[in-house]
Amino acid sequence: MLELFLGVLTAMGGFVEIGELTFAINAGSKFGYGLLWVAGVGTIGIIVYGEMAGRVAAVRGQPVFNLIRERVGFDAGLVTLMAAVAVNVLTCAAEIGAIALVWQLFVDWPYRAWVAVAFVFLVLAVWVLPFQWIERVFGLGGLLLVVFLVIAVMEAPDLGEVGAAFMPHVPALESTQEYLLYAYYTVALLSSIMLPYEVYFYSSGAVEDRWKPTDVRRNRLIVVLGFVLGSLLCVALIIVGSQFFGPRHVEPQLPGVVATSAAAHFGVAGLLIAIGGMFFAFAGAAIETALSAAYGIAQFFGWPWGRFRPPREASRFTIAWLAVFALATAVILTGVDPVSVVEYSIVFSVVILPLTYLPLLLVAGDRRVMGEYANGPIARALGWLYMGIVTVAALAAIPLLILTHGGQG
Amino acid sequence: MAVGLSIVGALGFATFVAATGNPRSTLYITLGELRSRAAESLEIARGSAASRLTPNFVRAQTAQLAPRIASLRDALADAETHDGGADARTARPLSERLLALTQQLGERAETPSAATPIERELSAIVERLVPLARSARPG
Amino acid sequence: MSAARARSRSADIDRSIHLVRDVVDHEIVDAHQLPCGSVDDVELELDPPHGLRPVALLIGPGAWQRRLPSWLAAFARWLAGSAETRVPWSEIAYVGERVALRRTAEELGLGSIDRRLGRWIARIPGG
Repeated sequence: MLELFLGVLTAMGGFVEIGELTFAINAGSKFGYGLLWVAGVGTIGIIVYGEMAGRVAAVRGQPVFNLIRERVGFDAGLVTLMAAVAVNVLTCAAEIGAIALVWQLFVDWPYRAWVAVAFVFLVLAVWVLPFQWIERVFGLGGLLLVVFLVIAVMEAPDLGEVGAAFMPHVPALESTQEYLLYAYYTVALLSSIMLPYEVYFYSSGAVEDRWKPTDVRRNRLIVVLGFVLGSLLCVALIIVGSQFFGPRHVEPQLPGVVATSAAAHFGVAGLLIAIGGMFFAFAGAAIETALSAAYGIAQFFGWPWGRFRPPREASRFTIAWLAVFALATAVILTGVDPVSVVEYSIVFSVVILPLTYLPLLLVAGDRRVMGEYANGPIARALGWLYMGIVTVAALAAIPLLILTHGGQG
Repeated sequence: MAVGLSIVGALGFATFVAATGNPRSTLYITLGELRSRAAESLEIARGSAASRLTPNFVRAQTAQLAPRIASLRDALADAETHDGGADARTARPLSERLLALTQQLGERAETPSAATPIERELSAIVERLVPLARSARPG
Repeated sequence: MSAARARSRSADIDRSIHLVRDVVDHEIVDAHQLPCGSVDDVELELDPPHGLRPVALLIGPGAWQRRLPSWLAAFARWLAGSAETRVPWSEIAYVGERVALRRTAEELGLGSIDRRLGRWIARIPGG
């Protein structure tokens, strides 16, 4: 029971990262409640694919990328792998930059110095901590972001209005340019909620934790509860964006600025809680993206993998995640803005999203692979519905990015 | 396989090109960002004056904002000379003042009371930038 | 060749192909259940009465590079080398979830890179 509880809380705390945080707050600031329905749609989407990934791991005792190669073949699987790794490296880079920005708020060192410290910190965390500790520490630490949930409740007097906004709709806007920006935000917010690294990490984690077919029901519970609660954080950020930052004409591009909303309500304590939560969320995301990439590579080529093995027994896997951290750090050390990096990686992720989720959908639905645990009618219907949704989003993403001047307006 | 890789590579490249398309070339975007940075400095000034923010935070956050404001000011200076836009001419001195005030805010982070006059002036700047940014928007 | 013999030969070929399909790209584990690669390719032999017979598993960059388009294969060769390990079909204990081998990875020459790197990593505390 405790395991379930912790699993749910960990999934909740690990839901938010710098991209989702920035897009959600800005979505609220620019469009009020107009994008709340996207948060709902995106959450259902990641629940659908997260459940499949967890079920596959529990039933086959193998994580997804092993089975992708089996089911989809070497060529297509390699393309999926390379695309997923590229997105992961970029997302990891953005999280490392965001961690440096956050630490800078406490001790005034140069940004690049903090980036280097963040690199060392992350490597040590993964090297030293057992897998469960990694999941728990950063997942539960991310729960400090619940402060935004409290602020949202305090700032949103009209729950009816909030509820109504969950029905898919397009708000009345002032110009074509604004509609284009709204469409871009729809795609970007959806992508930031459905980032594949979470799904693939969750699946490998299930194997690290030695799940069995009997865990299929527990998987479903954790995924649904954890991701729904996590999406509450995302919804809270949109509401805070709408009710706090909108009227103040602020469209934040820095995590510290987002934290001022917590300070406005709870003073210095609120500020520290918000920043603390952001740190754990960003660090957790950096670790998950690096490990997710390493899992994918090792599983695809059949190398021994996993944090349940001592590093010397899974050498190439170990070098893979070290390399991802190193590459991500190198990217962010070039001085590129972390928020720009993550925006780019979120758009690139949605462009290849059909490619990254299709193998999972095929594997989870294949009776030869899954036996009686293959996708039932609901999973099949939702799986293909969302494949359609993400394909539309993937096709629209680049035109929208261009038409909105790189998402600026 | 080759087809798949080429497609993914092309998409990645297209995304990159699209994302790094010059946003500053559109004045209304620059003005919108300037308005936001001004409002952010104002929030920090308010927080500092009310002792809701630690001096460290005020110093660090203003230091993170300053270079972004500076690059907006540069973009406006550019727009002044090239487009001859009246809006850019109005906004540039405001951006200079905003930069100076933000830096002052950081320098006087230890004294909350010093933030109050800065807050007042920032509020005035925001009030001027809001309609300016709005009117510059297309459509 | 009689029609019956022709029919039975194509059935054998089908069986061989099915076997290959159920084996290629699957994970390989050794006697200690340690993952030691994937089946990157299969060596087949033409055995006149029986059709095609799988003779060995081929594992390693050399094997899967052959499946890539030539320009990518060259890059992969630069990145990963072209080592290839041949595991005779007789070494297979059974084919199920994964392809399980009778002996250990070390004995069969698989996963040597991991072992070599592992000796370096073991020197780091916590490795």
